[in-house]
Amino acid sequence: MTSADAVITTVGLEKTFTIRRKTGRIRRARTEVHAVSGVSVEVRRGEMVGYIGPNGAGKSTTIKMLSGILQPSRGSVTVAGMVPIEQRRALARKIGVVFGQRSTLWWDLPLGETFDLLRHVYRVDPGRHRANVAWYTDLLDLGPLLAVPVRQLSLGQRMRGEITAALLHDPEVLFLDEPTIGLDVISKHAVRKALAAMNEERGVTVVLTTHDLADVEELCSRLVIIDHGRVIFDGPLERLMAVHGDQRTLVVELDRVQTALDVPGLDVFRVEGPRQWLRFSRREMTAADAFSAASAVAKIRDLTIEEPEIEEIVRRIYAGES
Amino acid sequence: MYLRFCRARVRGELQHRVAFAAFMVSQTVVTFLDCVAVLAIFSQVDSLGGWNRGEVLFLYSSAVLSFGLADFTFGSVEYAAVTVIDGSFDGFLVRPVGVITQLLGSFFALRRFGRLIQSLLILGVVLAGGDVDIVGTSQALFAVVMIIGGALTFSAVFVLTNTVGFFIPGAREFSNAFTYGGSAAAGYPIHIFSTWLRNFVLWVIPAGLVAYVPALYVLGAANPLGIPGWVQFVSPFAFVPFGAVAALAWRAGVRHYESTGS
Repeated sequence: MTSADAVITTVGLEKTFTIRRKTGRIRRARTEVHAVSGVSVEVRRGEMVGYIGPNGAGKSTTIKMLSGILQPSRGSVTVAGMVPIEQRRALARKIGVVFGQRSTLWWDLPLGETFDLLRHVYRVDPGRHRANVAWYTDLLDLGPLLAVPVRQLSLGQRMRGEITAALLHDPEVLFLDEPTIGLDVISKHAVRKALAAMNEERGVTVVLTTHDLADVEELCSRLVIIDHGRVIFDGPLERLMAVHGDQRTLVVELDRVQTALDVPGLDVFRVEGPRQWLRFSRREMTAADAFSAASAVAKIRDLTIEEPEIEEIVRRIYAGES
Repeated sequence: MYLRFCRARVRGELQHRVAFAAFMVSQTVVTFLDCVAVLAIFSQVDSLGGWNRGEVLFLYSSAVLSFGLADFTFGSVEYAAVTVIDGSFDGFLVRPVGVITQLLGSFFALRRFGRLIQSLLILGVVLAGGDVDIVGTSQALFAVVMIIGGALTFSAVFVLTNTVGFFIPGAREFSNAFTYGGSAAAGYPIHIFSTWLRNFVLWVIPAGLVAYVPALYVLGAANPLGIPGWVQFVSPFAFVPFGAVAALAWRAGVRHYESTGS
Protein backbone atom coordinates (compact mmCIF):
# COMPACT_ATOMS: atom_id res chain seq x y z
CA MET A 1 0.00 0.00 0.00
CA THR A 2 3.05 2.21 -0.22
CA SER A 3 2.28 5.10 -2.50
CA ALA A 4 4.90 7.14 -4.29
CA ASP A 5 4.46 10.31 -2.31
CA ALA A 6 4.60 8.69 1.13
CA VAL A 7 7.02 10.46 3.45
CA ILE A 8 6.40 8.28 6.45
CA THR A 9 5.52 4.62 6.30
CA THR A 10 5.24 2.32 9.27
CA VAL A 11 4.25 -1.32 9.05
CA GLY A 12 3.33 -3.25 12.16
CA LEU A 13 5.40 -0.92 14.30
CA GLU A 14 5.85 -2.13 17.87
CA LYS A 15 7.74 -1.09 20.95
CA THR A 16 7.92 -3.12 24.11
CA PHE A 17 9.64 -1.95 27.25
CA THR A 18 10.80 -4.35 29.86
CA ILE A 19 10.13 -3.02 33.31
CA ARG A 20 11.75 -4.59 36.34
CA ARG A 21 9.69 -4.31 39.42
CA LYS A 22 10.71 -5.09 42.97
CA THR A 23 8.70 -7.97 44.35
CA GLY A 24 10.88 -8.99 47.23
CA ARG A 25 14.15 -8.18 48.85
CA ILE A 26 16.18 -9.22 45.84
CA ARG A 27 13.63 -10.64 43.50
CA ARG A 28 12.60 -8.57 40.52
CA ALA A 29 9.65 -9.30 38.31
CA ARG A 30 10.05 -8.49 34.64
CA THR A 31 6.98 -7.11 33.02
CA GLU A 32 6.65 -6.42 29.34
CA VAL A 33 4.85 -3.21 28.54
CA HIS A 34 3.54 -2.83 25.01
CA ALA A 35 3.85 0.91 24.48
CA VAL A 36 3.10 0.67 20.78
CA SER A 37 1.63 -2.43 19.17
CA GLY A 38 1.17 -2.89 15.47
CA VAL A 39 0.90 0.66 14.21
CA SER A 40 0.70 0.83 10.41
CA VAL A 41 0.35 4.34 9.13
CA GLU A 42 1.26 6.11 5.92
CA VAL A 43 1.71 9.87 5.75
CA ARG A 44 1.86 11.63 2.38
CA ARG A 45 4.02 14.60 1.55
CA GLY A 46 2.54 17.87 2.77
CA GLU A 47 -0.01 16.25 5.04
CA MET A 48 -0.64 17.59 8.51
CA VAL A 49 -1.53 14.76 10.83
CA GLY A 50 -2.79 15.04 14.36
CA TYR A 51 -1.68 12.12 16.48
CA ILE A 52 -3.78 11.98 19.58
CA GLY A 53 -4.53 9.71 22.46
CA PRO A 54 -4.68 9.71 26.24
CA ASN A 55 -1.56 9.81 28.42
CA GLY A 56 0.54 6.70 28.00
CA ALA A 57 -1.17 5.72 24.77
CA GLY A 58 2.13 5.51 22.92
CA LYS A 59 2.20 8.86 21.10
CA SER A 60 5.63 10.00 22.19
CA THR A 61 7.06 6.53 21.80
CA THR A 62 5.90 6.49 18.19
CA ILE A 63 7.40 9.92 17.51
CA LYS A 64 10.68 8.73 19.03
CA MET A 65 10.76 5.71 16.77
CA LEU A 66 10.03 7.90 13.75
CA SER A 67 12.80 10.35 14.61
CA GLY A 68 15.47 7.74 15.28
CA ILE A 69 15.64 8.11 19.06
CA LEU A 70 14.22 4.69 19.85
CA GLN A 71 14.77 1.37 18.19
CA PRO A 72 11.47 -0.33 17.31
CA SER A 73 11.01 -3.77 18.85
CA ARG A 74 9.23 -5.06 15.76
CA GLY A 75 7.92 -3.78 12.47
CA SER A 76 9.39 -1.34 10.02
CA VAL A 77 9.63 2.43 9.71
CA THR A 78 10.70 4.59 6.80
CA VAL A 79 10.91 8.36 7.10
CA ALA A 80 11.99 10.49 4.12
CA GLY A 81 13.26 7.32 2.46
CA MET A 82 15.43 6.33 5.40
CA VAL A 83 15.38 3.85 8.24
CA PRO A 84 15.49 6.16 11.28
CA ILE A 85 17.67 4.32 13.80
CA GLU A 86 20.16 3.10 11.20
CA GLN A 87 20.53 6.39 9.37
CA ARG A 88 19.89 8.60 12.36
CA ARG A 89 22.35 11.36 11.59
CA ALA A 90 21.50 11.55 7.89
CA LEU A 91 17.82 11.59 8.78
CA ALA A 92 18.40 14.39 11.29
CA ARG A 93 19.02 16.76 8.37
CA LYS A 94 15.65 15.93 6.86
CA ILE A 95 13.51 16.19 9.95
CA GLY A 96 12.80 18.76 12.62
CA VAL A 97 11.73 17.75 16.11
CA VAL A 98 10.11 19.91 18.76
CA PHE A 99 9.51 18.56 22.24
CA GLY A 100 6.89 20.63 24.03
CA GLN A 101 8.10 19.58 27.43
CA ARG A 102 11.80 20.21 27.06
CA SER A 103 14.03 22.64 25.31
CA THR A 104 16.65 21.86 22.72
CA LEU A 105 17.83 25.47 22.65
CA TRP A 106 20.94 26.78 24.37
CA TRP A 107 19.73 28.19 27.64
CA ASP A 108 22.28 30.99 27.93
CA LEU A 109 22.49 32.05 24.32
CA PRO A 110 20.38 34.74 22.74
CA LEU A 111 17.91 33.25 20.28
CA GLY A 112 19.70 34.82 17.32
CA GLU A 113 23.01 33.19 18.21
CA THR A 114 21.26 29.87 18.74
CA PHE A 115 20.05 30.13 15.15
CA ASP A 116 23.62 30.88 13.99
CA LEU A 117 24.92 27.85 15.84
CA LEU A 118 22.23 25.69 14.26
CA ARG A 119 23.33 26.84 10.83
CA HIS A 120 26.67 25.15 11.54
CA VAL A 121 25.09 22.10 13.13
CA TYR A 122 23.02 21.47 10.00
CA ARG A 123 25.57 22.98 7.59
CA VAL A 124 23.00 25.22 5.97
CA ASP A 125 24.15 27.49 3.18
CA PRO A 126 24.54 31.04 4.65
CA GLY A 127 22.26 32.69 2.10
CA ARG A 128 19.48 30.18 2.59
CA HIS A 129 19.93 30.38 6.34
CA ARG A 130 19.55 34.15 6.31
CA ALA A 131 16.43 33.92 4.17
CA ASN A 132 14.93 31.27 6.45
CA VAL A 133 15.69 33.22 9.63
CA ALA A 134 14.08 36.28 8.07
CA TRP A 135 11.03 34.35 6.95
CA TYR A 136 10.41 32.60 10.26
CA THR A 137 11.28 35.67 12.33
CA ASP A 138 8.57 37.49 10.45
CA LEU A 139 6.10 34.60 10.59
CA LEU A 140 6.51 34.00 14.31
CA ASP A 141 7.11 37.61 15.24
CA LEU A 142 10.50 36.90 16.79
CA GLY A 143 12.20 40.15 15.75
CA PRO A 144 12.39 41.74 19.22
CA LEU A 145 13.42 38.42 20.80
CA LEU A 146 16.54 37.63 18.78
CA ALA A 147 18.85 39.37 21.24
CA VAL A 148 17.23 37.88 24.35
CA PRO A 149 18.85 34.88 26.08
CA VAL A 150 16.60 31.84 25.86
CA ARG A 151 16.29 31.48 29.63
CA GLN A 152 14.60 34.89 29.80
CA LEU A 153 11.91 34.03 27.28
CA SER A 154 8.38 33.18 28.32
CA LEU A 155 7.12 29.69 27.52
CA GLY A 156 5.16 30.94 24.52
CA GLN A 157 8.10 32.92 23.16
CA ARG A 158 10.41 29.99 23.72
CA MET A 159 8.09 27.63 21.89
CA ARG A 160 8.06 29.97 18.88
CA GLY A 161 11.85 29.88 19.06
CA GLU A 162 11.90 26.08 19.29
CA ILE A 163 9.69 25.74 16.24
CA THR A 164 11.88 28.11 14.25
CA ALA A 165 15.01 26.27 15.39
CA ALA A 166 13.53 23.00 14.15
CA LEU A 167 12.72 24.43 10.73
CA LEU A 168 15.76 26.50 9.73
CA HIS A 169 17.38 23.59 7.89
CA ASP A 170 14.29 23.12 5.69
CA PRO A 171 13.30 19.67 6.94
CA GLU A 172 10.88 17.55 4.95
CA VAL A 173 9.07 16.43 8.05
CA LEU A 174 8.37 18.25 11.28
CA PHE A 175 7.53 16.26 14.42
CA LEU A 176 5.88 18.23 17.18
CA ASP A 177 5.37 16.53 20.52
CA GLU A 178 2.74 18.57 22.32
CA PRO A 179 3.77 21.95 20.94
CA THR A 180 0.99 23.87 22.65
CA ILE A 181 1.23 22.32 26.10
CA GLY A 182 1.10 24.93 28.83
CA LEU A 183 0.68 27.85 26.43
CA ASP A 184 -1.85 30.63 26.87
CA VAL A 185 -4.59 31.18 24.32
CA ILE A 186 -2.72 33.90 22.43
CA SER A 187 0.50 31.90 22.16
CA LYS A 188 -1.44 28.84 21.07
CA HIS A 189 -3.06 30.86 18.36
CA ALA A 190 0.28 32.27 17.18
CA VAL A 191 1.82 28.81 17.06
CA ARG A 192 -1.11 27.33 15.14
CA LYS A 193 -1.20 30.18 12.65
CA ALA A 194 2.52 29.82 11.98
CA LEU A 195 2.31 26.05 11.57
CA ALA A 196 -0.55 26.38 9.11
CA ALA A 197 1.32 29.00 7.06
CA MET A 198 4.53 26.97 7.10
CA ASN A 199 2.71 23.84 5.99
CA GLU A 200 0.91 25.66 3.21
CA GLU A 201 3.79 27.71 1.83
CA ARG A 202 6.69 25.36 2.35
CA GLY A 203 4.90 22.03 2.03
CA VAL A 204 6.51 20.63 5.16
CA THR A 205 4.83 17.44 6.33
CA VAL A 206 3.75 17.77 9.95
CA VAL A 207 2.99 15.14 12.55
CA LEU A 208 1.88 16.57 15.85
CA THR A 209 0.80 14.97 19.08
CA THR A 210 -1.49 16.91 21.30
CA HIS A 211 -4.00 16.84 24.09
CA ASP A 212 -5.62 19.99 22.83
CA LEU A 213 -8.18 19.01 20.26
CA ALA A 214 -8.44 22.59 19.11
CA ASP A 215 -4.96 22.08 17.60
CA VAL A 216 -6.39 19.27 15.53
CA GLU A 217 -9.54 21.13 14.64
CA GLU A 218 -7.64 24.16 13.40
CA LEU A 219 -4.69 22.44 11.78
CA CYS A 220 -5.03 18.85 10.84
CA SER A 221 -6.72 17.45 7.80
CA ARG A 222 -6.20 14.01 9.21
CA LEU A 223 -6.47 12.49 12.60
CA VAL A 224 -4.86 9.34 13.97
CA ILE A 225 -6.13 8.27 17.36
CA ILE A 226 -4.10 5.81 19.35
CA ASP A 227 -4.99 4.05 22.56
CA HIS A 228 -3.10 1.31 24.41
CA GLY A 229 -0.58 1.38 21.58
CA ARG A 230 -3.13 0.65 18.87
CA VAL A 231 -4.59 2.87 16.20
CA ILE A 232 -8.30 3.13 16.87
CA PHE A 233 -9.13 5.73 14.26
CA ASP A 234 -7.38 7.03 11.15
CA GLY A 235 -9.07 9.44 8.81
CA PRO A 236 -10.25 12.99 8.26
CA LEU A 237 -11.89 14.85 11.08
CA GLU A 238 -15.16 15.00 9.15
CA ARG A 239 -15.37 11.23 9.02
CA LEU A 240 -14.79 11.00 12.73
CA MET A 241 -17.65 13.40 13.20
CA ALA A 242 -19.86 11.55 10.73
CA VAL A 243 -19.23 8.15 12.26
CA HIS A 244 -18.95 8.98 15.90
CA GLY A 245 -20.43 12.47 16.04
CA ASP A 246 -23.93 11.50 15.14
CA GLN A 247 -25.38 12.90 18.33
CA ARG A 248 -26.34 16.57 18.19
CA THR A 249 -27.89 18.54 20.97
CA LEU A 250 -30.85 20.90 20.88
CA VAL A 251 -30.77 23.37 23.75
CA VAL A 252 -34.10 25.04 24.31
CA GLU A 253 -35.16 27.80 26.65
CA LEU A 254 -38.80 27.36 27.64
CA ASP A 255 -41.17 30.08 28.80
CA ARG A 256 -41.35 28.46 32.24
CA VAL A 257 -39.66 25.85 34.43
CA GLN A 258 -40.92 22.41 33.46
CA THR A 259 -40.11 18.76 34.02
CA ALA A 260 -38.20 16.97 31.25
CA LEU A 261 -40.09 17.18 27.97
CA ASP A 262 -41.37 14.03 26.34
CA VAL A 263 -40.59 14.44 22.65
CA PRO A 264 -40.51 11.45 20.27
CA GLY A 265 -37.01 10.97 18.83
CA LEU A 266 -35.42 13.36 21.28
CA ASP A 267 -33.89 12.53 24.61
CA VAL A 268 -33.61 15.05 27.45
CA PHE A 269 -30.38 14.57 29.39
CA ARG A 270 -30.13 17.78 31.34
CA VAL A 271 -32.60 20.25 32.88
CA GLU A 272 -31.55 23.54 34.40
CA GLY A 273 -34.31 26.00 35.25
CA PRO A 274 -36.22 26.78 32.08
CA ARG A 275 -33.44 25.36 29.90
CA GLN A 276 -33.37 21.80 28.66
CA TRP A 277 -30.82 19.80 26.67
CA LEU A 278 -32.17 17.29 24.16
CA ARG A 279 -30.08 14.82 22.24
CA PHE A 280 -31.02 13.67 18.75
CA SER A 281 -29.50 11.69 15.95
CA ARG A 282 -28.23 13.48 12.87
CA ARG A 283 -29.21 10.49 10.76
CA GLU A 284 -32.79 10.36 12.01
CA MET A 285 -33.81 13.98 11.87
CA THR A 286 -32.73 17.43 10.81
CA ALA A 287 -32.30 20.30 13.27
CA ALA A 288 -35.50 21.85 11.90
CA ASP A 289 -37.45 18.64 12.52
CA ALA A 290 -36.09 18.42 16.02
CA PHE A 291 -37.12 21.97 16.72
CA SER A 292 -40.65 21.54 15.40
CA ALA A 293 -41.06 18.28 17.33
CA ALA A 294 -39.99 20.04 20.52
CA SER A 295 -42.13 23.13 19.91
CA ALA A 296 -45.14 20.85 19.47
CA VAL A 297 -45.04 19.94 23.19
CA ALA A 298 -43.80 23.22 24.78
CA LYS A 299 -43.45 26.88 24.15
CA ILE A 300 -39.86 27.67 23.16
CA ARG A 301 -38.43 31.14 23.56
CA ASP A 302 -34.90 30.53 22.39
CA LEU A 303 -32.75 27.69 21.02
CA THR A 304 -29.26 26.67 20.01
CA ILE A 305 -27.93 23.58 18.29
CA GLU A 306 -24.72 22.13 19.72
CA GLU A 307 -22.48 20.07 17.51
CA PRO A 308 -20.62 17.27 19.26
CA GLU A 309 -17.19 18.23 20.49
CA ILE A 310 -14.24 16.11 19.52
CA GLU A 311 -13.32 15.71 23.18
CA GLU A 312 -16.61 14.02 23.76
CA ILE A 313 -16.27 11.81 20.70
CA VAL A 314 -12.75 10.80 21.57
CA ARG A 315 -13.77 10.12 25.13
CA ARG A 316 -16.51 7.84 23.84
CA ILE A 317 -14.13 6.02 21.54
CA TYR A 318 -11.68 5.57 24.41
CA ALA A 319 -14.46 4.24 26.55
CA GLY A 320 -15.26 1.74 23.81
CA GLU A 321 -18.74 3.09 23.13
CA SER A 322 -18.29 4.37 19.59
CA MET B 1 31.79 21.80 15.55
CA TYR B 2 32.96 20.72 18.99
CA LEU B 3 34.63 24.09 19.42
CA ARG B 4 31.46 25.95 18.44
CA PHE B 5 29.52 24.05 21.08
CA CYS B 6 32.28 24.81 23.58
CA ARG B 7 32.20 28.49 22.78
CA ALA B 8 28.45 28.63 23.26
CA ARG B 9 28.86 26.89 26.58
CA VAL B 10 31.68 29.11 27.80
CA ARG B 11 29.69 32.23 26.98
CA GLY B 12 26.95 30.88 29.20
CA GLU B 13 29.31 29.92 31.99
CA LEU B 14 30.97 33.31 32.03
CA GLN B 15 27.63 34.86 32.83
CA HIS B 16 28.04 33.43 36.30
CA ARG B 17 31.50 34.79 36.94
CA VAL B 18 31.58 34.40 40.71
CA ALA B 19 30.61 30.73 40.68
CA PHE B 20 33.11 30.18 37.91
CA ALA B 21 35.95 31.84 39.84
CA ALA B 22 35.06 30.00 43.03
CA PHE B 23 35.19 26.64 41.33
CA MET B 24 38.45 27.42 39.59
CA VAL B 25 40.02 28.38 42.92
CA SER B 26 38.70 25.32 44.73
CA GLN B 27 39.99 22.98 42.01
CA THR B 28 43.41 24.55 42.18
CA VAL B 29 43.49 24.26 45.95
CA VAL B 30 42.45 20.60 45.89
CA THR B 31 45.16 19.67 43.38
CA PHE B 32 47.65 21.68 45.37
CA LEU B 33 46.74 19.88 48.60
CA ASP B 34 47.32 16.54 46.87
CA CYS B 35 50.77 17.76 46.04
CA VAL B 36 51.34 18.89 49.61
CA ALA B 37 50.56 15.33 50.72
CA VAL B 38 53.41 14.05 48.58
CA LEU B 39 55.75 16.69 49.98
CA ALA B 40 54.66 15.82 53.53
CA ILE B 41 55.69 12.20 53.01
CA PHE B 42 59.09 13.29 51.85
CA SER B 43 59.58 15.52 54.88
CA GLN B 44 59.67 12.23 56.84
CA VAL B 45 61.45 9.85 54.47
CA ASP B 46 64.09 10.27 51.78
CA SER B 47 62.72 7.74 49.37
CA LEU B 48 59.47 6.00 48.64
CA GLY B 49 59.99 2.45 47.39
CA GLY B 50 63.42 3.44 46.17
CA TRP B 51 62.20 6.57 44.36
CA ASN B 52 63.43 9.97 45.46
CA ARG B 53 61.29 13.08 45.87
CA GLY B 54 61.93 14.41 42.37
CA GLU B 55 61.00 11.11 40.75
CA VAL B 56 57.77 10.80 42.69
CA LEU B 57 56.85 14.42 42.00
CA PHE B 58 57.56 13.92 38.30
CA LEU B 59 55.35 10.83 38.26
CA TYR B 60 52.70 12.62 40.24
CA SER B 61 52.59 15.77 38.11
CA SER B 62 52.74 14.00 34.77
CA ALA B 63 49.92 11.69 35.84
CA VAL B 64 47.85 14.69 36.93
CA LEU B 65 48.65 16.43 33.66
CA SER B 66 47.50 13.42 31.63
CA PHE B 67 44.42 13.15 33.74
CA GLY B 68 43.84 16.90 33.56
CA LEU B 69 43.96 16.85 29.76
CA ALA B 70 41.47 13.98 29.67
CA ASP B 71 39.24 15.67 32.23
CA PHE B 72 39.37 18.95 30.34
CA THR B 73 38.23 17.37 27.08
CA PHE B 74 36.32 14.19 27.97
CA GLY B 75 35.39 14.79 31.61
CA SER B 76 32.02 16.23 30.59
CA VAL B 77 30.95 12.81 29.35
CA GLU B 78 29.80 12.29 32.94
CA TYR B 79 26.74 14.38 32.03
CA ALA B 80 25.55 11.54 29.78
CA ALA B 81 23.84 9.97 32.80
CA VAL B 82 22.17 13.26 33.73
CA THR B 83 20.83 13.89 30.25
CA VAL B 84 19.57 10.31 30.04
CA ILE B 85 17.57 10.84 33.21
CA ASP B 86 16.18 14.28 32.39
CA GLY B 87 15.43 13.27 28.81
CA SER B 88 17.53 15.95 27.13
CA PHE B 89 19.59 13.15 25.59
CA ASP B 90 16.76 12.91 23.03
CA GLY B 91 17.79 16.30 21.73
CA PHE B 92 21.29 15.07 20.92
CA LEU B 93 19.91 12.18 18.92
CA VAL B 94 17.90 14.30 16.50
CA ARG B 95 20.81 16.45 15.36
CA PRO B 96 23.22 15.49 12.58
CA VAL B 97 26.29 15.77 14.81
CA GLY B 98 27.88 12.97 16.84
CA VAL B 99 26.37 12.49 20.28
CA ILE B 100 29.74 12.59 22.05
CA THR B 101 30.70 15.82 20.27
CA GLN B 102 27.46 17.47 21.34
CA LEU B 103 27.69 16.15 24.87
CA LEU B 104 31.30 17.21 25.41
CA GLY B 105 30.73 20.58 23.77
CA SER B 106 27.47 21.32 25.55
CA PHE B 107 28.92 20.60 28.97
CA PHE B 108 32.42 21.82 28.28
CA ALA B 109 33.80 23.36 31.46
CA LEU B 110 36.55 25.91 31.18
CA ARG B 111 36.99 25.67 34.93
CA ARG B 112 38.53 22.20 34.54
CA PHE B 113 41.51 24.12 33.24
CA GLY B 114 42.59 24.71 36.86
CA ARG B 115 43.91 21.19 37.24
CA LEU B 116 45.95 21.58 34.07
CA ILE B 117 47.68 24.78 35.17
CA GLN B 118 48.44 23.27 38.52
CA SER B 119 50.10 20.14 37.17
CA LEU B 120 52.08 22.09 34.57
CA LEU B 121 53.34 24.33 37.34
CA ILE B 122 54.53 21.45 39.51
CA LEU B 123 56.04 19.64 36.55
CA GLY B 124 57.88 22.82 35.60
CA VAL B 125 59.22 23.31 39.10
CA VAL B 126 60.34 19.68 39.36
CA LEU B 127 62.14 19.75 36.02
CA ALA B 128 63.69 23.18 36.57
CA GLY B 129 64.74 22.36 40.13
CA GLY B 130 67.02 19.58 38.89
CA ASP B 131 65.33 17.25 41.35
CA VAL B 132 64.81 14.72 38.65
CA ASP B 133 67.24 13.24 36.19
CA ILE B 134 65.97 12.61 32.68
CA VAL B 135 69.13 11.33 30.99
CA GLY B 136 68.64 11.47 27.24
CA THR B 137 66.59 12.96 24.39
CA SER B 138 64.74 9.72 23.78
CA GLN B 139 63.69 9.65 27.46
CA ALA B 140 62.48 13.26 27.22
CA LEU B 141 60.52 12.53 24.03
CA PHE B 142 59.07 9.43 25.62
CA ALA B 143 57.90 11.57 28.54
CA VAL B 144 55.80 13.59 26.07
CA VAL B 145 54.44 10.39 24.48
CA MET B 146 53.64 9.08 27.94
CA ILE B 147 51.66 12.19 28.91
CA ILE B 148 49.67 12.31 25.68
CA GLY B 149 49.10 8.55 25.63
CA GLY B 150 48.01 8.75 29.24
CA ALA B 151 45.55 11.54 28.42
CA LEU B 152 44.04 9.44 25.63
CA THR B 153 43.75 6.36 27.84
CA PHE B 154 42.14 8.34 30.66
CA SER B 155 39.71 9.77 28.07
CA ALA B 156 38.78 6.26 27.01
CA VAL B 157 38.22 5.34 30.67
CA PHE B 158 35.97 8.38 31.08
CA VAL B 159 33.84 7.28 28.15
CA LEU B 160 33.88 3.60 29.06
CA THR B 161 32.88 4.02 32.69
CA ASN B 162 30.19 6.55 31.84
CA THR B 163 28.41 4.17 29.47
CA VAL B 164 27.15 2.57 32.65
CA GLY B 165 24.75 5.52 32.84
CA PHE B 166 22.84 4.09 29.86
CA PHE B 167 22.25 0.80 31.64
CA ILE B 168 21.97 1.83 35.27
CA PRO B 169 20.44 5.29 35.57
CA GLY B 170 22.05 7.48 38.20
CA ALA B 171 25.35 5.62 38.33
CA ARG B 172 27.43 8.75 37.90
CA GLU B 173 29.62 8.04 40.95
CA PHE B 174 30.59 4.70 39.49
CA SER B 175 32.71 6.46 36.93
CA ASN B 176 34.18 8.92 39.41
CA ALA B 177 35.57 6.07 41.48
CA PHE B 178 37.58 4.93 38.49
CA THR B 179 38.58 8.25 37.02
CA TYR B 180 39.17 10.60 39.93
CA GLY B 181 40.07 7.73 42.24
CA GLY B 182 42.45 6.33 39.66
CA SER B 183 44.26 9.58 39.17
CA ALA B 184 44.94 9.78 42.90
CA ALA B 185 46.67 6.38 42.82
CA ALA B 186 48.59 7.12 39.64
CA GLY B 187 50.85 9.62 41.35
CA TYR B 188 52.65 7.02 43.48
CA PRO B 189 55.27 4.43 42.60
CA ILE B 190 52.77 1.63 42.67
CA HIS B 191 55.14 -1.12 43.77
CA ILE B 192 54.59 0.22 47.29
CA PHE B 193 50.96 -0.93 47.10
CA SER B 194 49.72 -4.39 48.02
CA THR B 195 49.46 -6.87 45.17
CA TRP B 196 45.73 -6.64 44.55
CA LEU B 197 45.67 -2.85 44.62
CA ARG B 198 48.71 -2.73 42.36
CA ASN B 199 47.08 -5.05 39.84
CA PHE B 200 43.88 -3.09 40.00
CA VAL B 201 45.67 0.19 39.33
CA LEU B 202 47.79 -1.37 36.60
CA TRP B 203 45.25 -3.24 34.54
CA VAL B 204 41.78 -2.08 35.47
CA ILE B 205 41.86 1.64 35.99
CA PRO B 206 44.68 1.65 34.34
CA ALA B 207 46.42 4.65 35.83
CA GLY B 208 49.54 2.69 36.79
CA LEU B 209 49.92 1.36 33.28
CA VAL B 210 49.93 4.79 31.67
CA ALA B 211 51.97 6.72 34.26
CA TYR B 212 54.10 4.46 36.44
CA VAL B 213 55.18 1.95 33.77
CA PRO B 214 56.42 4.42 31.12
CA ALA B 215 57.95 6.57 33.85
CA LEU B 216 60.22 3.64 34.65
CA TYR B 217 61.90 4.18 31.31
CA VAL B 218 61.82 7.99 31.44
CA LEU B 219 63.39 8.11 34.89
CA GLY B 220 65.47 4.96 34.82
CA ALA B 221 64.16 4.54 38.35
CA ALA B 222 64.09 1.50 40.61
CA ASN B 223 61.96 -1.26 39.08
CA PRO B 224 61.33 -3.79 41.86
CA LEU B 225 58.39 -5.31 39.97
CA GLY B 226 60.70 -6.20 37.12
CA ILE B 227 58.38 -4.90 34.43
CA PRO B 228 59.95 -5.87 31.09
CA GLY B 229 61.27 -3.17 28.80
CA TRP B 230 58.85 -3.84 25.93
CA VAL B 231 55.89 -3.38 28.28
CA GLN B 232 57.31 -0.01 29.26
CA PHE B 233 57.42 1.01 25.60
CA VAL B 234 53.93 -0.09 24.61
CA SER B 235 52.25 1.12 27.81
CA PRO B 236 51.50 4.67 26.55
CA PHE B 237 49.55 3.06 23.73
CA ALA B 238 47.10 1.43 26.08
CA PHE B 239 44.59 3.94 24.66
CA VAL B 240 44.28 1.77 21.53
CA PRO B 241 42.56 -1.23 23.15
CA PHE B 242 40.88 0.91 25.80
CA GLY B 243 39.64 3.33 23.15
CA ALA B 244 38.27 0.52 21.01
CA VAL B 245 36.40 -1.02 23.91
CA ALA B 246 35.10 2.41 24.98
CA ALA B 247 33.83 3.15 21.45
CA LEU B 248 32.03 -0.19 21.25
CA ALA B 249 30.54 0.20 24.71
CA TRP B 250 29.35 3.71 23.93
CA ARG B 251 27.63 2.59 20.75
CA ALA B 252 25.97 -0.25 22.60
CA GLY B 253 24.88 2.28 25.23
CA VAL B 254 23.29 4.65 22.73
CA ARG B 255 21.49 1.71 21.12
CA HIS B 256 20.29 0.51 24.47
CA TYR B 257 19.03 3.96 25.37
CA GLU B 258 15.35 3.90 26.13
CA SER B 259 14.17 7.44 26.29
CA THR B 260 12.14 8.37 29.34
CA GLY B 261 8.80 10.10 29.72
CA SER B 262 6.94 12.05 27.10
